Amino acid sequence: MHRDLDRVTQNSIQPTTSISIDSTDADLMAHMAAGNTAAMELLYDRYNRPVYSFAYRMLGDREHAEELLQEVFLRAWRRSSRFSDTRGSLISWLLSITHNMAIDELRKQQRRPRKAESAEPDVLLGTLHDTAPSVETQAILADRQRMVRAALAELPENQRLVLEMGYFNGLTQREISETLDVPLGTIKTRMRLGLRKLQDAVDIEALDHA
Amino acid sequence: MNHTAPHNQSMQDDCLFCMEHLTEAALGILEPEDRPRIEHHLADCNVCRTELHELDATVNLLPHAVDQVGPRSGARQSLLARMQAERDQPIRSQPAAGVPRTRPQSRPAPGRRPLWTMGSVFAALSIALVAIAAWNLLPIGTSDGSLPQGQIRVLAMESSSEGTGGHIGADPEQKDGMVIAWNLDPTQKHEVWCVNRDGVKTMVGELDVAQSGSVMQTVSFPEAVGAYDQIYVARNDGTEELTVAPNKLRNSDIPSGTPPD
Repeated sequence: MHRDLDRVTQNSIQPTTSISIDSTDADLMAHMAAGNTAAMELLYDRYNRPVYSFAYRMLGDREHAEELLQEVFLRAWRRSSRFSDTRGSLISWLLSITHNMAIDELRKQQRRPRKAESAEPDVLLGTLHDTAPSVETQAILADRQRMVRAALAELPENQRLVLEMGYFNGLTQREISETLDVPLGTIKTRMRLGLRKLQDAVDIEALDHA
Repeated sequence: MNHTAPHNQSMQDDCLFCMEHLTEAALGILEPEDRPRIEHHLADCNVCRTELHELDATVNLLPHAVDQVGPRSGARQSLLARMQAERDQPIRSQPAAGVPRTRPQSRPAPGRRPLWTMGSVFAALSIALVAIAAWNLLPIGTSDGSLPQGQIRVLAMESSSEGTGGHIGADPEQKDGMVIAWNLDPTQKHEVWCVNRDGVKTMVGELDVAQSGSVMQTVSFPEAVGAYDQIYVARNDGTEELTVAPNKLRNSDIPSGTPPD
């Protein structure tokens, strides 16, 4: 951890512009790498909801999701100098970190999450006090959500189910096979076909750089 | 005409094993016992790595589908306090007083990447150059001596049989393609056919399927691979086992995406 932080300090890209709510993700990451906590605040305000929502969906528990949210942004803070927007969007990077850490958490706890069917009342109330992302960010995220959901809706139910069980619940194919009492080969086929159909249905490049 | 790729058997076996498990790798749900072999192979295999990048880009879309909820307001302040403490006191062995202590930094999850290091990437590029040249997919030695990343495309073949799968990797502008398939019936003959834009079918080779049902083999086509409307693997009973539309090879780009930690 400390080595990471040192590296950030030594190799930080010196930002040349001041930051504002309109700054790009790359600018904010450069400021973060230079130790500017205000940049982190702006990024947090921009992306805390998708990161938290994803963590909550995977862990099914508000407290653990909030802890994970903090860890994800801290990791982004420590490694901000390594981020390059030419290799993908910041939100994709953050969500990848979230997924890795959530899977780790699920396995560490050796339990399976309950599905976050709906937000708990106090979670919703809590958001009233938090800083909301900008209208533009909300619109982009909502647009992504609409497109991905539409693509998922096109999948046959059995393919969508195994993808969700694997990705969001962290179940291995063998575990899914046992849970559903379906042969392992069938699970493998459903998962592969589901992912391929999803791949064909969404313009990934356009979404990732929106 | 067909010929078996001049790879050693171990590399072929690893390639087949990896292709069978790429979906799990992309979803982060590899069985722990499979992970080392796959990571090791991905460091050496440009084709499998390209395929994984493509799957990763799709998998990274899934979080966007979840219902949006926000954390409690205290989460923001707590995070900022921890950041402030780290910034003010970068060298320390224990969390600062008053800063909530959280669990230690998680190591990468079992079944999830990191899949390669910088060193292994350089090694992989070197090996991939030799390997691909050997497959006749790429003339060895480009003008600047570098591997032209992005020329090789990998496309999944649609399977008509449950459990059977396959991919074809090729430069769309070249006449050679690498067919990788698994869970084929080794008691059957499997022929590779192509259909050009005029609808003319040509049998271009027979796959040498191992007893395990797997095969990895280069096949030479009369025209550039990307020129065909369809390439398929058919059993000797005439049924199509695997099929793909190569004209997609021309349009599929290697997607961007940041390898996760």
